[in-house]
Amino acid sequence: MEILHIDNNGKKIYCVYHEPVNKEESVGVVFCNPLGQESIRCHGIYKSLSESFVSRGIHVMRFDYYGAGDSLGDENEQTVHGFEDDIKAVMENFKEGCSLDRIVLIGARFGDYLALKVGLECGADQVICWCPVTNGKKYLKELKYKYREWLNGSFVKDKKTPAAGMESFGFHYCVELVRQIKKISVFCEMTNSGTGILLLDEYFHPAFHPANCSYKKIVNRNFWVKQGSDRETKLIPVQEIEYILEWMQV
Amino acid sequence: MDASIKETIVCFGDNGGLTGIITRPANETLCKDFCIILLNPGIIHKIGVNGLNVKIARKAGCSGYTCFRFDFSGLGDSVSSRFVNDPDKQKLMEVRLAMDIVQKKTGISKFILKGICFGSEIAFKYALADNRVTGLILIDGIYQDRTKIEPVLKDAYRSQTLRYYKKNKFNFDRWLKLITGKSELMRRIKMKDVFSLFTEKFRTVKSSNNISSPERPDITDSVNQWMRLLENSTKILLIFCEGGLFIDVFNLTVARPLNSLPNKNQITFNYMKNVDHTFTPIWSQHKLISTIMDWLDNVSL
Repeated sequence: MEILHIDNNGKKIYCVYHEPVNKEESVGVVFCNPLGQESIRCHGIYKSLSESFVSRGIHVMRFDYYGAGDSLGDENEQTVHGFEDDIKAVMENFKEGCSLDRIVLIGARFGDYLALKVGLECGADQVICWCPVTNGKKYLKELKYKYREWLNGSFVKDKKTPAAGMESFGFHYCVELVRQIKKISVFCEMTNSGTGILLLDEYFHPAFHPANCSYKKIVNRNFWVKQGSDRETKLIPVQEIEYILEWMQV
Repeated sequence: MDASIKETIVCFGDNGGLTGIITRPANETLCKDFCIILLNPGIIHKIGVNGLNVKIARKAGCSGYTCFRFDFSGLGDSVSSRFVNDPDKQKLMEVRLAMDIVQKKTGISKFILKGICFGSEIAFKYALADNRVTGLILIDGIYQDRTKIEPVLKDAYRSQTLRYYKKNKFNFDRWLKLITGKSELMRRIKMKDVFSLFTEKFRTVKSSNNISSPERPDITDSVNQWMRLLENSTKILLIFCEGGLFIDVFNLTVARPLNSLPNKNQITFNYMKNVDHTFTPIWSQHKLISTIMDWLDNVSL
């Protein structure tokens, strides 16, 4: 494992590269994080998946968007366009640095939208979408609703924060980010391309083209939501991980 | 914020398997002569709950403090150690390694350990063994052998539950939740326990906060540890949140004996109302950071 900063036009992106033991495969996987609290809950899954990939000879790159996680920048600098730009920069560095023939993007929740958008734009070979966000407005509404619900059962007194934008489960979403998220939507034509897509969710989304998309039903959709008690934080969905590896044929 | 600080990735420990990030003022001449080590809160990686470790490190970095946040082995971006027999001892050893690497890279030899929940308990234990630790920021932890607090846990839960319902006695939504059985606390405790909150029995238990009572845990070791820290001139910022159980355990165990120690003024006590254990609302994060910054600016280490 190698930890490094990639420079994306002056923005320092924190990256973790997992080097495979057996380098026969020239396949690389880039993980695209979800946002906010979901990214914390995702960290363990991505790390577990990375270890499984590495043991099968696949190169892996995990990273944090600028303004999130361990990367430089703060929440007020986050934008959807910035996230997309970061994925492109990481993909480029990764492909060149490891001489890869095949790139697979994996995203969960909002990370899935970003993986899909960039993957289709840049010709990734495969994209894996895990409980995807296909409509920005609905996503924000869900975040607000679930946070309200959580607040209502806690000791916490809600107060307005001075910064504009919105907050959910401990993270701030700045005005520009909220504006850009509201605009996003995934539609059927978008997913009908040469890129192989795997959808993991409780139900098949109409936004995904059935002819171009493999589907695996999963049951733990609420994994991404912060629970009333913080005890259920380290859940590794083993079955889904196994299915991903099988689908990728590695 | 970025222009005034710089961050450096550091790999250290067994085969460089531990990962951390040093945050310092960009202008190193502004660096103060001690470093704040930010420990993992339980199982969350080094960014901390709600990214708080990053926020604290960068705010402190802007004010001239050096900070180091890292992942214990097996957590976050650190690899699992091959030689773990006792995970607690392993973590204590890794705190020492973290301080050693910071000392080697920056020349700093005085440290403040900051932890929340499990991290604060590691910080407390470690500070007893290393004189380089001159300050502690302890948030919502249990600072004694967890196996010995069993006798007070039931009372602590009751106290926390009572606090919750007192706080929300006029909140219609929460009454509705309670009545319909959707309350989280209702799931955790039995119905008869809720009713017993309002009984004479409970009030008796609550008022009998007497450490010599047979139901009270043996806290002699814990009090001695606090005394040792204070005798070593360690300055302590002790924070508890209203939403956690930790304040109740503290009140039922070491609070009273600590209050009678001669050098108790080395402890700055802060009780945060309307705040949950993980500082979820943004306003509470700002409050925590400003509390820590005020303490750092005013404490002499």
